[in-house]
Amino acid sequence: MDQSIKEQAAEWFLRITSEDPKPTAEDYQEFENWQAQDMRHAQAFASMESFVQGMETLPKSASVDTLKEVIHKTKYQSKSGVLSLLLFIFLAGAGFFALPQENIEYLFADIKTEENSGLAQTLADSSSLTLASNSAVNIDFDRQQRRIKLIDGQLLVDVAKDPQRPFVVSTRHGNIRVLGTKFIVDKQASTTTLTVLESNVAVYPANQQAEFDLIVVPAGQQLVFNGRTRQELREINVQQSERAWKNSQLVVDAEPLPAVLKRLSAHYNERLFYSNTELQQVEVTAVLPMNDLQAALNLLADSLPIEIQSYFSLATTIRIKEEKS
Amino acid sequence: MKKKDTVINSDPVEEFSACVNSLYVDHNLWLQRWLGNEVGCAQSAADITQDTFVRVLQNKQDIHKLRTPRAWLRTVAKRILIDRRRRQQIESLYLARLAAHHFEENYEFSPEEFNIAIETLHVIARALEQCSPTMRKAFMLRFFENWTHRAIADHLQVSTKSVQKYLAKALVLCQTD
Repeated sequence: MDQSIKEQAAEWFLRITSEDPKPTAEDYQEFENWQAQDMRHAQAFASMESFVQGMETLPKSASVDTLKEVIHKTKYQSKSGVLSLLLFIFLAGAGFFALPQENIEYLFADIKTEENSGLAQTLADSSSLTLASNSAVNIDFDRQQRRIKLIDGQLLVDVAKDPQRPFVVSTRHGNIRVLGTKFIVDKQASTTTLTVLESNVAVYPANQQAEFDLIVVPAGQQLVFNGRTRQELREINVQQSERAWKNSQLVVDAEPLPAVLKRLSAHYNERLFYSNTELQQVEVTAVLPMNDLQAALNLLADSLPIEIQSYFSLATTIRIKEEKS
Repeated sequence: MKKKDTVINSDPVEEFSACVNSLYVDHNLWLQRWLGNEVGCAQSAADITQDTFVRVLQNKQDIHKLRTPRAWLRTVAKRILIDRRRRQQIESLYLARLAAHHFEENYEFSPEEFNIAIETLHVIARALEQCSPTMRKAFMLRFFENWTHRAIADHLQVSTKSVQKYLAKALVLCQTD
């Protein structure tokens, strides 16, 4: 259809349907005349009207949220975006520039925990947040949403219901949108692990070109993902995961030993020496303490065919135990 | 037979489809390969190639006058690619939002309603991407928050005439294919 007719139809539609300022009697008269002028006028008007009606019957908040996220973020950048930019410039001047972005975030996190000390806190919306040791979060609640950025470490949230404001936990690897209530997030250097204890949780990758889109993780399942890829969902035992979390323990369910050692070494910031290829075959199912490395390693040594040796607490090696002939 | 061929070739419609045909034969495989690299999936590449040629058919451009048909095909294909990505994004975002409301308010929706909503949101998103932030704001307030033109004008500190102009422009963009 002719572009100028569409333009006229849009103008008339807006003039006639405006509630304030209201259309005048002359407006109506002119509108009638315009419609009578050409068949295409009435057609264009009808198509405009039906489009707007269709738009207005969409579920409001879901549509608005979707549009806001899809359209370039430029317009929806909040004031805090500007603030953090200023802060960044200030820091750069102060010689902080060499620090990676995450370290800066870590330094200025809203809540941080030290080694060997977790923290439980009730948030403004009466959700409860529990942080493991060596963890940091930023809390950003506004009228549209409740967002927690997990900069590093692990957290457990029990989310208070608020239909108006979705609850989002984001890590460098993606966004976890809460549809249900209770879950654990564990952010490692290269991946994030989500364990869902109750209801459903939706995950989006941080990277737009990621190989997966949205994934909904139901209760009793665990998802390991990073900005690009994800692993298959794994079944987990809800009671055990939660209990383990409460005791600050690492629950391992049929994982290869190198993956477990990597997590232990990251958690304790301790170097462990082992060969990936040698230990790949060893599968671990265990609950390991997260406050005593030696105890965790001893537990592994007790249940697996491995040998652990410490050299004056300078280095620890893990090897397959040699059969004694 | 020979005579008939000549008659058909002089028909502009037939001539056009012959042009499209040779365009397809010459560049189809190239385009598919290029898209394969772009999307990393042979099936999607084949789909988008198909869509590209369908769009070429619909546009009824003077294909035989094209000096660099590949550059042009690539432009059309890229636009389709962007549309597809945007639609996928909308689908997943909207699904999650609906799911959230479904869980919290028992909001029910049928597959048809879902598809219509995705289509409408896609049209709006594409239109609003071409609008200024002020126009977008006016549009969202008018059609999703139900504000009056005067309230929007006060909020944006412009005249009600300007508000109407913004809204009209956005609506026209929504009606443009």
